[in-house]
Amino acid sequence: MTTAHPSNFGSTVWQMTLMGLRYLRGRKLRTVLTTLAIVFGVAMIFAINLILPSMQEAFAQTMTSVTGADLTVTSVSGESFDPEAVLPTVSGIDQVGAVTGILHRQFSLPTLGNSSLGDTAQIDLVGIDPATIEDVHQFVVSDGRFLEPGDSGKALLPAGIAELAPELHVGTTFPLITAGGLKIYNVVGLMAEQGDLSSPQIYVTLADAQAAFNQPGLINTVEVSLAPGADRDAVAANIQQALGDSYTLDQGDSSSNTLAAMQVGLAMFDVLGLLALFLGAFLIFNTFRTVVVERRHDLGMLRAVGATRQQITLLIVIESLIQGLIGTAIGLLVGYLMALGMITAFGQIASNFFHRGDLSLQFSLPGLLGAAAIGLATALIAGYLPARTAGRTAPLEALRPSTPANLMHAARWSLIGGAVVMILGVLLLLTGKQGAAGGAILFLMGMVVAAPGLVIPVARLISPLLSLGFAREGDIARGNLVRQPGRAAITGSTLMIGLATLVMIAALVLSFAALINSLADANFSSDLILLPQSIAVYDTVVGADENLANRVRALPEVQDVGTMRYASSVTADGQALQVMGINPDDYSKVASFTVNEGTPEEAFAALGSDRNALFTAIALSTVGLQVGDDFVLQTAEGPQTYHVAGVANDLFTFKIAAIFISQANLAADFHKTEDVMLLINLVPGADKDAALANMQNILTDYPQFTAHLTGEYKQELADVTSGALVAFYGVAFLILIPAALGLLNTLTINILERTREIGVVRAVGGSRKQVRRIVTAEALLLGLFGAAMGVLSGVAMSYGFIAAFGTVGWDMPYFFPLAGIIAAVVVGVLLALFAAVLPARNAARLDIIRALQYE
Amino acid sequence: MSIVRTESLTKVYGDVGQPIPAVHDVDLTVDEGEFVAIMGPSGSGKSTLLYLLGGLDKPTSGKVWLRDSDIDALDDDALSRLRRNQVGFVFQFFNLIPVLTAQENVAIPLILDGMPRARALKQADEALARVGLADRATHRPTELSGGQQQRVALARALVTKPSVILADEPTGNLDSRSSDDVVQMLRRAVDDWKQTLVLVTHDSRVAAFADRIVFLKDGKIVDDNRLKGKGNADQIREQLSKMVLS
Amino acid sequence: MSVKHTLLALLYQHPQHGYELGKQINAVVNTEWDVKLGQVASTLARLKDAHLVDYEVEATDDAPDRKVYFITDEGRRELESWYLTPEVREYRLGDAFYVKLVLSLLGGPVSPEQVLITQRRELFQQLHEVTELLREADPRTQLPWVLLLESATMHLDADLRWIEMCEARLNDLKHYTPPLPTPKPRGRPRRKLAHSSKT
Repeated sequence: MTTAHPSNFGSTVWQMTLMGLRYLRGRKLRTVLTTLAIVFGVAMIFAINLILPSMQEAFAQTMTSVTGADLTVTSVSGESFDPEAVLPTVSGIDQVGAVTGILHRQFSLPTLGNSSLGDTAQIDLVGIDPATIEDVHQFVVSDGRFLEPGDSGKALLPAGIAELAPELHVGTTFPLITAGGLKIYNVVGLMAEQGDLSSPQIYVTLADAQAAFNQPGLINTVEVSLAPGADRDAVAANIQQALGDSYTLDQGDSSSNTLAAMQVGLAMFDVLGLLALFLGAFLIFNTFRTVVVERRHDLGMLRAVGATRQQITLLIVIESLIQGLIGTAIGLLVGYLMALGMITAFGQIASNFFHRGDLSLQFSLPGLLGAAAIGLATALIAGYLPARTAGRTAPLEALRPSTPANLMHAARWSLIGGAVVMILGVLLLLTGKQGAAGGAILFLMGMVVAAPGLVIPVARLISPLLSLGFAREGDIARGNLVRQPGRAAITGSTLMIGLATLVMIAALVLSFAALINSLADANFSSDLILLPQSIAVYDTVVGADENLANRVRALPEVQDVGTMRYASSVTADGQALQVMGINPDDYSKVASFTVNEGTPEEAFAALGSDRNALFTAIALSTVGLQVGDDFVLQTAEGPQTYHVAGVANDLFTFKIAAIFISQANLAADFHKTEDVMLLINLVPGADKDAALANMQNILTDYPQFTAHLTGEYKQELADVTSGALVAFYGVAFLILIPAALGLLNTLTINILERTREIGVVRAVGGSRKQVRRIVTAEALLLGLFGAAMGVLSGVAMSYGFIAAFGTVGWDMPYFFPLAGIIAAVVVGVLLALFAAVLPARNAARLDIIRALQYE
Repeated sequence: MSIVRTESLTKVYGDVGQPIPAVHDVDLTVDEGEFVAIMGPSGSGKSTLLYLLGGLDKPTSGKVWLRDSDIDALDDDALSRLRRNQVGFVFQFFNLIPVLTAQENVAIPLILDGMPRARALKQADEALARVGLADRATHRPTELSGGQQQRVALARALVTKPSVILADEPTGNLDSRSSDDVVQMLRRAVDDWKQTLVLVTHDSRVAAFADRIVFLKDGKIVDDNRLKGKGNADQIREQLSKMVLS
Repeated sequence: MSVKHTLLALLYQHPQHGYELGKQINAVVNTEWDVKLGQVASTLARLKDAHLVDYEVEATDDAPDRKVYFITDEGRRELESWYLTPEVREYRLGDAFYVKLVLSLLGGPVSPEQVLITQRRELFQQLHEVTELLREADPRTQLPWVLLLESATMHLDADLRWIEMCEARLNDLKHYTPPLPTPKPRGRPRRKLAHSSKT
């Protein structure tokens, strides 16, 4: 008699790991198929989590690369401020050595026009005070001279500029975009320092910079050097205390709205990765359920020699964990490569559209651990249920011939349960916006639950259709499918999720395009529009001072000009908001809002007085305010209380958290007076082409702007939108990959399990072709089953999600996604046929004798 | 001293309407070091009786004591531990785990018990040597003959030095020659290694190795036959010679 | 049992004289088969007459000359045809137990089941004894003995299986009505009665 060794758990686990590995090796094809699903999901999630920090890092780097100072102070809102409010305070603090004020902004250069600095896509224009800057950090001038107080139109360039614009030397000139139009600058010196070539720093005097951004007397950064031996943290704390909450120390600008926009886009891929893992979990669950049945004898034997239930469960869980580990490891590798590929591709796009280049992949340990944890957890959870079933294997199972369990009973219950859940889902869908998305999800879940019970009736419904092409093989295939309703249900559900996503995306694309069109029609009543090149990223735009608007207004064809201004801000809670400044009187003549309540006129009227703000629907829901509330906004003048006067969306702002305030308030609180967009109405009957030509003439001084006929612009916008939405179809197709793996997996399992039967069919005279047709018919049944469920839940999901968007203020019309439905059915059938190719061929090629002896 | 004892042991299969008693009111005591064969026509309940003795199946009524523990009173985990430590099983089919080597198969009850793997494997090697398969330790079951597989299974049953070894038709799937090897080994387990053995078989020549043969019919013991020693060689030789010369 | 063919088989190995042959029979066949030297001599003489064996006289210094027998070609042929002639096994039917069982079927103080059980006990006891002997025997050095014991186990096994079959038969029949001997008609048939017995 042996004594127990409860302490030595590791021995058991190690032996089980060995067993798991060998079992997995014993069924290679299935292992590969199941693992692929994990690989896919983990790769997606890891890739996203690599790309996001890389972008963040890239942005943070360019944002903070200005200084070599010990400490920097910026406004919480990100906007400029009066140096007198900060500099004296900071220099008065103990252990502070020197302080200097800087006004700088990164902005993109137009790709066309006469303002370019050679190949430079983006610059960081830094206005410095030559009198004090060298107290804070050292500049080594390699050629020419440093800036001097009183310099105007003089610039100091980094040495690296020679690579981008070789024609620039000390003494040459270059044109620079400013809010007041193009200005010619003289190169007075080159620095020894190479500089950041993705966004070279061009140093000018503070006064020049203030003129360029139309912010006279303002700075946006204070650089601080410490006295020798000073305690950096203590000084920083003292400065923070002295300046209050409106200022922040050493913060890289992370509230860039470009990044926020990308985060939203990439989050879609995160969802895709999670969905893929969800489907992967289905696959693992399905595989291991089969494995447990197949291995009944082994498990029973282990029980007979004394394995406890928990030990058996552990064995199966370990096996599924091994798969999870392998899948996760490969997934991480694939994800890394994917991220590398995407970064490279995105770098291209970025340099084309956003004029940012030089993205490099940042390795992120939390991202890696997170993706790995999610992958392993998926395998663990999906493996656990079958493992628990395995634990219940009676020892006597080893000694008895197999008795297939009666699954019909369970199937009936799942049908009833699923139907109840689905009805609840539909009720929720019909109640309206609030619960609609939940209703859709509930409906989908109900479908998954009901699936085992649906297999038989649906197969019966479909098979007359199938018998057209398959005659008797169709009947056999149906019989095979119905025999394992659980497995067919899981496979169908996997396919369903993929196809439902396809249907939903088709509907969303239709509805979204319609929303964009309606917004465009409603908001752009103007004839012409002047836009900076990268409209999506206001904070890297140099706008124009009032001269541009005045010159346009002076044109004989022009009747009205409305302008849009921009500032960034945060709420008291730190929520980033884009602040759009309009002049209600002018703007209402050239554009309109889509309002949820009241009329656009009332909305404009509200902006005329006090600190009133109109919120976009998204802004209101992100900040969590109601119309009528007061709230505190961080401004360049410190915290200011604004009033939520209403909800208003327009084409540019409906998808971001933005508020509209009057330009008077924007100038007072944010010191921003640049126009970043001009909307123009012409005199009735004026020659549009002539007006456009005149406009373009003026814009030679403002190359940061381009002029468009509004009609053309809307068309352009619609094209861009549909182009972006096509990417969502890509997402849907990616989701179909695990669904296809699921089909392949199930067909492979079915054939393995029926090896002996196939042998009998062949032995009594079935031809290879007939065997192949049986498998193909089975795949088609599965495909059609998944498609039928996918279409139903796709319609429910599209309806639910479009209704749900209503709650964030996007009232989208619902379009029945007929094209999506047809596509889903076609894709389902094609996937099934594709997945059937290999298993059908394997089945047909089975050696009869060996098949007959298969245990 | 009795190792296994049953009292009014009854197992009924089937529906409430039509109960089929497989084991009916069986009182059986197996003493330490005994080699008991259970015989009977198929359907006589002999395998069921064996499973009841080993805690693989739960009785409908009656009791089973293994050494001093009342099997019925144990929960599933305790029963698993009992099977692991106190009982050694040898079956007709599905005897070994196909993905494990002979050595690992033998070591599995020890490993399940948490013994360090290296030590378990060492003990497994010793058990394999006893059944004459020291040179097959790293073979997988599919690489072994039926008789060798069954000897591995026997080594697995021996490795924990259980209170009782229960063998269900261990030679049912073997030819005469391998069958003889296996049953010789079983006999040695009793004689040399002081094990207690209960064996179900339908083969008289296997049963003849036992010290005692219990006959079952319709779930009841109909005969309990204790066999006496070995024959007188000379006498038998004489008788057989007559047979040859007749 | 054929002493004749035993001698031929031994001489086939190598020529020997009569005394050696007598000794070797026991060693090779390994039974209680006590063949007398006289029987060996007389058989050899008959074989010589039939030209199946012949002998040469071997002179020795210290003893009388001995006849060394060897097998002739004719002898070889005879041996070969003996090997190739199967031995016909006799069915040992109707032994004492058979009679006992059949009689018990008629009914009596002991049930046929008990008769079968009793016989089975005996057969198992014998089988056990033989098995034990077999366990002690080493097939490498005692092959003829082992073969003989195994033959015995097989026969006993066959008997036990027959008993098993008998039990199963009895189980199936439950109630056995033994056949009554059909009375042979004697004298003149009584016509009338034959008619009336028709039911």
